[in-house]
Amino acid sequence: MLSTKIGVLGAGVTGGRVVEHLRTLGHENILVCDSILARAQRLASLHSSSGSRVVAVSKEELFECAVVVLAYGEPHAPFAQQLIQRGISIVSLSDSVSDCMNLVALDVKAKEHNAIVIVGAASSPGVTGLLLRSMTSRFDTIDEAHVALHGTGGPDCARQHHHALSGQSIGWHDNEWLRRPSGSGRELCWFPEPVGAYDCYRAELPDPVLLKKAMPELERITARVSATRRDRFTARLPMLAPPHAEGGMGAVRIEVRGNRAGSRIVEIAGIAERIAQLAGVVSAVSAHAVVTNMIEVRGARVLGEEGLPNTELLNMVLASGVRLHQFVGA
Amino acid sequence: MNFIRRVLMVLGIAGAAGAILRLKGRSEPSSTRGGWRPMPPLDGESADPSSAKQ
Repeated sequence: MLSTKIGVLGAGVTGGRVVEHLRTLGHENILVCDSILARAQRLASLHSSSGSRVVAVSKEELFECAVVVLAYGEPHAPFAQQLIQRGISIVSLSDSVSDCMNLVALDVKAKEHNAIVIVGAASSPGVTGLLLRSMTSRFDTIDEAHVALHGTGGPDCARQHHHALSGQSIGWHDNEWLRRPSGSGRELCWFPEPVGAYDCYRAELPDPVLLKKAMPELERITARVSATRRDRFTARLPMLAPPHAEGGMGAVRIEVRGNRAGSRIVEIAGIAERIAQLAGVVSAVSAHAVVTNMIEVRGARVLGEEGLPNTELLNMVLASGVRLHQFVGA
Repeated sequence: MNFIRRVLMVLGIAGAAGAILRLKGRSEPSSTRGGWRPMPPLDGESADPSSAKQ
């Protein structure tokens, strides 16, 4: 059992999954904090037992932790800065472009304070970086990565999904950043069963920025998200109805293109899972890796980046019951 | 008054046309063959990361 203190800020759907998986990994000293105290207390009481200590605490008490998982809606960067100044490592699940870029910008400060910041340790971004890195072994060279996501986790994730469809998408195309309106560029993407095929569109997602940091040699990177006509039509309006407590079955896929033995090769990997569950597992595994010194490099890092134990991290994610699929026969 | 009506009508038509264009559009033709299968165990990162295209 591991007694190092790990903090989880955000006791919603994803935060709950983070705590659940940290317990599975053997952590017995977890501090939970939420803007709604009762929610943190409920989560703590759900996971407390004679052998483990899961307690609801105030935000200031998180400064006692070695690692804090940020599992609430954006922005994460301001609080991350406070944590870094105290030498506390961070695992952030933020999926906002500006927030992720602000977190990446904390690299120098994190190195100064001997802290690790894992940026975008969720499903997309997050597991996409791990999949991308693992798929490089199937190529001689890779030059393109195209990500697609279906589904949302908790309400904050749904709000971010709504916001992403009204902004400007960022894509890396032949050595320059291209901005296109979100909601354009329809592409029918097939996700692993039981999700199936969905129309996906460009959106303001941080995947291209983070995958480019993970693998600078990539020449084209795009990210799309599934959306219905209503999603796209109402994207620029405030959310008309409150989001669901949790989205249904979601999925993520990554299409990697490159060369092998002189031929052009396309490999597609995908995972069908509830997005909050997948994000919770990835962030818990990342926090575990930081606590157990599996990750030794300091500064702001993204999953899939060279120097991180990406294979071990992905294997730990898969060991939690997440099933990885490959598209074949196209 | 007439001018305001005309402006509102033009804006309405433009909005409706924009909405139709946004919601219609063409999908790229997608392959109907193939399917998903469990991925074999991962054998780790590329043995020679420097072989990746620069």
